[in-house]
Amino acid sequence: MRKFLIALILSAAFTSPPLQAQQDRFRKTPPNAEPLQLFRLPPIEIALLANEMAVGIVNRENHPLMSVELVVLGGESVSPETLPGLATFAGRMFGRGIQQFSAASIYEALDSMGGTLTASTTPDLTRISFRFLETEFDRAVALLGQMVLQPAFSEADANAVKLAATYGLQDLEKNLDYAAEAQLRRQLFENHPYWKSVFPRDGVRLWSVKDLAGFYDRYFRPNNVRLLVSGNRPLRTATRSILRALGTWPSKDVPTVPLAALPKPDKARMCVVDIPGAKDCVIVEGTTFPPLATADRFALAVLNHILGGTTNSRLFMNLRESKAYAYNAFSDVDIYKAGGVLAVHAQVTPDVVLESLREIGKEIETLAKTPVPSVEIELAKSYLIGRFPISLASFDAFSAAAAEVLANDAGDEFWSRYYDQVIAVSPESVFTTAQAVLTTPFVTIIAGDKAALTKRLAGLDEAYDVFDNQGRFQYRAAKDKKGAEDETRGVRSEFQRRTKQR
Amino acid sequence: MHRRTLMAKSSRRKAQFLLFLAVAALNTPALAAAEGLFSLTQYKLRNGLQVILSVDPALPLVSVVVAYNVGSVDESPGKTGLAFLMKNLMFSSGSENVPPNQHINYIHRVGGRFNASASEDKTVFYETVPATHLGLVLWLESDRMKSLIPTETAFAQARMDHLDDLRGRRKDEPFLESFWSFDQLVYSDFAHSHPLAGSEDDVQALTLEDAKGFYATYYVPNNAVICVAGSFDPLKAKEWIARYFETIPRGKDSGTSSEPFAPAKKQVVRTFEDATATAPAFCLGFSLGSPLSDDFSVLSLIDYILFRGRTSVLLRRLTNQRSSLMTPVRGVLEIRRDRVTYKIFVTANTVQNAEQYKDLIFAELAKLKTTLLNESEVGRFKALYKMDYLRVVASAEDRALYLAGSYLNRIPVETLPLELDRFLKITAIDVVGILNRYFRAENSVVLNIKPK
Repeated sequence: MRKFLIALILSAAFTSPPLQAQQDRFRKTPPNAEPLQLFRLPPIEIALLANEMAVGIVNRENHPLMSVELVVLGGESVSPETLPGLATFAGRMFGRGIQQFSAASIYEALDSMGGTLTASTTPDLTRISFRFLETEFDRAVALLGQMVLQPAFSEADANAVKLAATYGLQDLEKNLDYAAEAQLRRQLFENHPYWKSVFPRDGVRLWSVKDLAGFYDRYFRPNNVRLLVSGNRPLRTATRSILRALGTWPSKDVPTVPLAALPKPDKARMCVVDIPGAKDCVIVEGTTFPPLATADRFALAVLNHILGGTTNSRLFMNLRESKAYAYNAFSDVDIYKAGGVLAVHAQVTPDVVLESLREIGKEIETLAKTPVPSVEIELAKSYLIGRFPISLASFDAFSAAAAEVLANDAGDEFWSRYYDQVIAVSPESVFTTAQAVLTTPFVTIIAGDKAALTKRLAGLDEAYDVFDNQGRFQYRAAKDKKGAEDETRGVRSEFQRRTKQR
Repeated sequence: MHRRTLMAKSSRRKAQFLLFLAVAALNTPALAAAEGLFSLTQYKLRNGLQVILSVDPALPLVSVVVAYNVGSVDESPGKTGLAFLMKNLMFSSGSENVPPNQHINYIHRVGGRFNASASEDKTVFYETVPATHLGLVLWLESDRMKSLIPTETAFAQARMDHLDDLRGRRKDEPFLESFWSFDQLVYSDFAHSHPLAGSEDDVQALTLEDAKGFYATYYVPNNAVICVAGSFDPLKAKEWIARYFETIPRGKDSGTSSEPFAPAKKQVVRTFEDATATAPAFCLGFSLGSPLSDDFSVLSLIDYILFRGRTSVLLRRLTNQRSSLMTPVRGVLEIRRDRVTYKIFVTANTVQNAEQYKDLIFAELAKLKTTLLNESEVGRFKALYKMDYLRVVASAEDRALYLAGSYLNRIPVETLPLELDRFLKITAIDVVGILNRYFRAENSVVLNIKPK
């Protein structure tokens, strides 16, 4: 018996894999994921004050930080045609001075609360974000009330803001990504109120304190804002403090600006933005789509993920991993009140610009014509579901997302029912959305050194327009010599025409 | 086609703040139990890997940080740039069970995000994923800790990318050469003074064998810490960590030594002509000893008093208060493993302006050294610090980075949940004492920068 056991052990020792290999078998594949943890975000509770201001509260118990987001339901689309950028100016001037206190005193008050005050402006909205320590809530809201009710727009502050805006744009214009993106917006928003969201640097000098005061008086009204409070306060307590600080803010009729759906590009066209000396170039191809129903927006999110959402998406896998043309290749979607923009971005060297354009075109066309396999749809959905809590992980991101939901009246579909909406996306709905969005003409922008690009683009049959990095039309490069009549086209000339009327 | 790394660079300010927090709890007596703003448990595996767990169920996500105690201070002469290159190789190389470049794809597939950073004294890898995928991240990180397989192709690509970036930065990044030159003045030894990016000649000469040797020496469990923060079951996490990490063999101990700090006795002033300088400028540095000294927390508050927030003393004096331009003025408390320096960088319109600004800085410091800040002024800077601190601990990812960084800075991690309380007890008198101890002209180094 003993001999048998020894033989068995020896036999096992010689026929089995080494012990280390046995131990490491668990390393061969990743462990299975645990079942999805469904979670519900704290609800956005809403109260309507007597002055018609809607206040939303997301009560985050025991959270040590607080945020108040004041969202004005007016962005660049309501800036006067002759004063593009005025809404941005209003946002940046907010809180820089109140009647009794200088900007410096306000900074001291802000710092003493650990506070930060920032402003951002989109075509539709102006959002003032005020973040501070939870213990300072009443003081912070009182200060916000003074900023709202007693603004003091001094010439000195206005000049400082204008100077910063000018230098800021000057810096951005050297950036390939910005130059390409801005030119795309100029093209896509050409005949729409959104054109003002890419206001030119020259336009900054036209901003005045008088125009600002008028704009503020028209649009900064309680019946035209949404106030989102995020932090450790229940609805009743928070509302009481807000009422004390902002209850006397008078409502007033706000002028309505008709906002048509974003027009589709009439035809595919191409522009080059000249950035002298740039070694690489950035390709941006984009198109517009009209306002979408909730379900279609989720289908579009899935579609975008498949096209170019991450490094696993088709554009990246093709342009970078397979062809090695691009440093990166992604796509993204921006949603506005009047519709949205889907855009592809790729950074390449000029020697492969034509090849890259061809591959981007192929990927878009394939998605528009061929249904996406279910497995790819499910992978995209899995990504979106996984990403959702991560996108809300930082305090600032959480507050901003809640404010956006409140301002757009998006409701639970984009908040507590987000998972359900993603899960409901089907291959059919993605294909229908692809056919609707990806079959419209795309506008192509290439930002780079014109000298390096011209040689490569000579292989193109179609004409293209060349602009400088401020969006000023330079000339048309055309084989068919039909460009002369188009030389006055472009937002820049439109801006000149409109500002001349003043 | 050259490929560039896809990893986003962390914001400089956030990184600096995390660094701060990581060394700000040094003189707290050891506490029996960690009670405070967040919970944590820590233990060491048999192979020396330190494990820190911090549960926060607020959102269904989990962040994992694996940090190695290695940076450019560990490089040998002639091998500079290796620490930075190694960080990128950890993504592009495969490991025994993860094919090359697939680490990123595994993370992206589940909706996660990742990043990494290499500094003078640490190399940090981190991922945030849905809580249900904690096992995946532990599997991925353990595989590259255990069995990275850098190939000649991946190495050559990483080296070429790095050289491209380095050349581009030297050509386009204003003042880069000045900053490197300033480091040579501030730090007298090779380990601390050479640039993280390395020299072009050194990087060009690096070999795959160098990378393998560096990996074998420093990317070992006994030279690392893993921190998990977020929504997870600690028992399950411990089980996974034991399974994936405890079987990785311990490496050789790579001890680091540090020389005792001695304050300088004479100001050092040099001039540097820089082809990329866009304006006359100067760098001013004060040597502040070791991050393990009892003074560090007060130095953190002094940094806020001098340069953080819009009402900080030097920022307010040196910039136009009404302008929100990106100001060419900054101050930073810098740690390079065992050495701390306060660095100030100021640009000016003219050389005369630069001299005036320098005088102004010393005049303001002189005032601060002789006049106590009042309670409300100190309170203001403490409030800013508190806000930054709470932002960090409220986010699973930032908290994990903070805890892992603290461990590598040899801070008793169990004291960290009470760090804020201790910081808030610093007084104006403490501030004056530390300013007088370190912020003296004879303990300073000045590099005057002239555009070439």
